[in-house]
Amino acid sequence: MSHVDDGQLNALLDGELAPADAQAIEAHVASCAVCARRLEEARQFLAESSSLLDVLVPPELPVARPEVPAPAAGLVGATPVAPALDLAPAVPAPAAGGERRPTRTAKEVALDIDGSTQKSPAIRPIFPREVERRAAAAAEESTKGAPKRRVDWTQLAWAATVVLAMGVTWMVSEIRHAGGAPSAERVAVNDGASTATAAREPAAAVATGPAAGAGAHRRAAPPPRAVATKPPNARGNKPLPAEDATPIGRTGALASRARDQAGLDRASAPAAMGAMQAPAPPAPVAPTTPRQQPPTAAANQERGERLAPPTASPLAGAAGVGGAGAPAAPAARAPSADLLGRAVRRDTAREEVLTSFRRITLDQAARRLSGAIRLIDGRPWDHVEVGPGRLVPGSDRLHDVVRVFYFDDRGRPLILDQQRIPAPADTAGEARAAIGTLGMAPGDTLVTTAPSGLTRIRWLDRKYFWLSLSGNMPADSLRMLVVRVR
Amino acid sequence: MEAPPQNPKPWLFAVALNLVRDDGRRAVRQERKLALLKGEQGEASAPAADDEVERGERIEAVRAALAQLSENDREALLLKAEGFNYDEIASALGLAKGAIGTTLARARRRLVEAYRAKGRMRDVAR
Repeated sequence: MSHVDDGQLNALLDGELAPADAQAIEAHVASCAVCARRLEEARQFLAESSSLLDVLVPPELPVARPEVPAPAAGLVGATPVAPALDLAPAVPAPAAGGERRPTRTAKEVALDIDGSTQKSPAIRPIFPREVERRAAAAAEESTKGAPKRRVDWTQLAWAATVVLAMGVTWMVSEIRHAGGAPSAERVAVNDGASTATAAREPAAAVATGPAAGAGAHRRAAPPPRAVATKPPNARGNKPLPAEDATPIGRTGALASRARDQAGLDRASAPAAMGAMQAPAPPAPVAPTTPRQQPPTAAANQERGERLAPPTASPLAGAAGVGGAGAPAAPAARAPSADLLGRAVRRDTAREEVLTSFRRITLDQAARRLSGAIRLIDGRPWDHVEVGPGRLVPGSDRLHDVVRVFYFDDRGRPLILDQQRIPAPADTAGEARAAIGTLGMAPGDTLVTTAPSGLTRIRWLDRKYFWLSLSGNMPADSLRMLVVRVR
Repeated sequence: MEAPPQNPKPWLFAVALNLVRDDGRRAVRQERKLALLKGEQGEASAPAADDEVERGERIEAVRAALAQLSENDREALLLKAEGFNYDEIASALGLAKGAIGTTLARARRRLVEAYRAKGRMRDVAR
């Protein structure tokens, strides 16, 4: 018999030969030293390769090994060079009751040795059995109830803080709207620099003298709600709330004193104030732009003429009396020198506004604005003033500001300031300077809200009209009015 | 429709191997990296760091040695290691049963020799 080839020797070692073939080869190996040596060599290669492949198997998993056939008795006994039993250590038998390891397949191993995926043997194929096991585990977990969520107290605290802040803001806004903004707030409308409420009462006392006593008297007066019940067409001479209608200037002091002396209520106070003011002969003035005139424009115009200079703005006057209407703070009862000084300085600025702004008619205002004045569509205006731009925050200081006064149903003032900035086509340098002063470009809109609650929306339109709408109301409410400015 | 194979296991693995080959080629083309899950080593029986390093090196060497085999040799060897008999391996690889012994003999010898060569290179490098 010729020598046995390696394939047959390996088949013998793997137990793949038929018994007759195995016996024949064993017989030959027993008598052939060369084949015996080659069989031993093949056995060593088998054992070593098996141990190498075992390395790829995770150690904690049972290693599946092919079932090693029982060695032929004749082979063991016939020759010492074919100890088939010696395969046992190299190729261990499967564990008792163990099944073929399901987590390592030929596909997995092949992937391991792929040139592009030389990674770990830990690629886990998803077997249906494993999927079922996971589903069962998930179902079991779900039956135990949802896992407890950890409460993130920090996030909860932040959320509570935000909600609280929103609630407080809303409440303050509601209170302000419901009770009518204290006149102290209105100081900011005319004088943006003056917002401190507590110091206003001494300021008013210093500035107005008699008005201070009147202020103390008015403190107990109810808010100006009655005004709101008047129909719009009866507001030709719009009744102003007591605080608003009480200027600190000459006419303001007179008006408040007259009202106090006459014992007039708030609804009739404006009429008394009007009677105290120097009457001017009514002069019919044609509306500048009929489209812009509200239904009561004629009445407004007439009143505007009648209340023309030298009266100061009732609203501006309200600034001085605002503190009187506000709750008296302890500091106001015993004003310190510093507080008094600040009040005086503030009052000086207020006085400057009062003396610098003067009433004009609508067509006068229109002429100052090169023929067009912007009004809030559908809302009757109260009066128009003009004053230097340096006194109006955000405006071009080099030009006058036309100021249109409105009052809402609650008597809260709304001021629409406007300037016409020379367009670049007119005088480029001047326009650039003005725009540089404003810090705005055409189309820009700036919304600011002061701590006092005064909201101001400033914008520069495409026609180089600078406008500013101010009022003690939320920015959203003010925006609703801004879109109606024509 | 063809009748189901008499022995579905090797047929199934033949299909799986074809899929694996296709997948490997696609991965090479697209330079896709497979998402590998973390090994399943139990925490309780975590081996020592030295053992772990040594085992990792050995695994890399075995993989490198396997990579040097031809595709047929490698797959025959791995299928045998999975417990397949010669008939099944022959069916999976499309070879004659009589060639499986020779293929396995060659694969085992080359694997061991390649591994030994790797070990020698490693020793020289150290």
